[in-house]
Amino acid sequence: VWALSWPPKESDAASADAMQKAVNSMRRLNRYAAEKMLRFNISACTDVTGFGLLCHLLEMCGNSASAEIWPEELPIINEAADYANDFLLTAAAQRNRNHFGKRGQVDSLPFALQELMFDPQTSGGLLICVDTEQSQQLLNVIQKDDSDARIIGRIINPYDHNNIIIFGGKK
Amino acid sequence: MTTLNMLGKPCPIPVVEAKKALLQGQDVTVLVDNSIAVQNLEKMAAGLGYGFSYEQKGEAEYAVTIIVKNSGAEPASCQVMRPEAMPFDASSGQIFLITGDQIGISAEEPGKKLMQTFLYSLAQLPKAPEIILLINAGVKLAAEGSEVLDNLKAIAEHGADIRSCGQCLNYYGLTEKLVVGKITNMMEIVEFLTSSRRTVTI
Repeated sequence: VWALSWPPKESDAASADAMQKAVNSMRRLNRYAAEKMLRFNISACTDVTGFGLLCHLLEMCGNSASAEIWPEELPIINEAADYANDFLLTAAAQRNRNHFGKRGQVDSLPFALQELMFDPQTSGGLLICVDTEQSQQLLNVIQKDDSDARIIGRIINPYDHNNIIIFGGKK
Repeated sequence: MTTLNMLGKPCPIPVVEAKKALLQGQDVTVLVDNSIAVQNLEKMAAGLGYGFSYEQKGEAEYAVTIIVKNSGAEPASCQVMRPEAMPFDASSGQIFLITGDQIGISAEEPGKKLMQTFLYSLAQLPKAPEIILLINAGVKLAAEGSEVLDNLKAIAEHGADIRSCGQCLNYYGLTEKLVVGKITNMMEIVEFLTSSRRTVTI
């Protein structure tokens, strides 16, 4: 899970707690959400793993769509942001950042947030694209088993190769 | 200038080791074997406001130099990226900035007693402040010899992220004797104080 595979050496209460949150998140199966989404109008879905949230989303957008992320809606483990600010950075996250390049205005975001969105996930969750009018209903159903699920953004048009992913507030 | 041979060491070890030396006030040259590690060192240097430069020595050898006291000149090779190092406000909470090992400056004896009682009382609350920053003589509270370690540990267990100023620990010779929490630096302290959290100064 985000930036937690390298916890600080001080095994204080906070990091033990963070570790447990990470383990719980990684042990959570995507199966329940996957089974539920089949009853909805899904246009795309991927499990977010080594390429991190942004590069998986980039792949999903292909050359036909752009996406808007709402950073405040991202379910994160708070300690992961602290570790990112302490520069406990993985090589893979930097490779993801290099791959992403200039296809979104990432540099203007807080540093920890950037790192978390590029951070490779050992066992991440599902990133699902669903019809806007069904999104809240799907979220409600998924949250019955996975309370951390969130609507984290939307697909927008038109496609802009130099700005495939933008960042904003929830509408 | 300290040289750290990090050839063969995966990320984030080069960054962690370099940061450790930098927080002691030492300039470092870090030898790494891949360009990704160079970029991660650069992010750290940019975030902490240090001077950064590097030189490729061989196919798989880079010498990265990070200078604590940046002369103000823009490092020539620092073009890859310059992320802003503001902490991400994952949860907005409260900061307690503790600037000494006693409360008030009038009389030492009651001042120390007051600090002990204060931290004891804080430890009794079910929810601690999100962040406690210890600066100046405040760092003594979290190091060996402190009479309030148990209370500070309890406060940490209640969720507080306790950070002591590295320069201050160094001044009091307590760098190796820190018992509770982590070491921080002025850049990080300033970022915390300018975040949206409420600050209480003790």
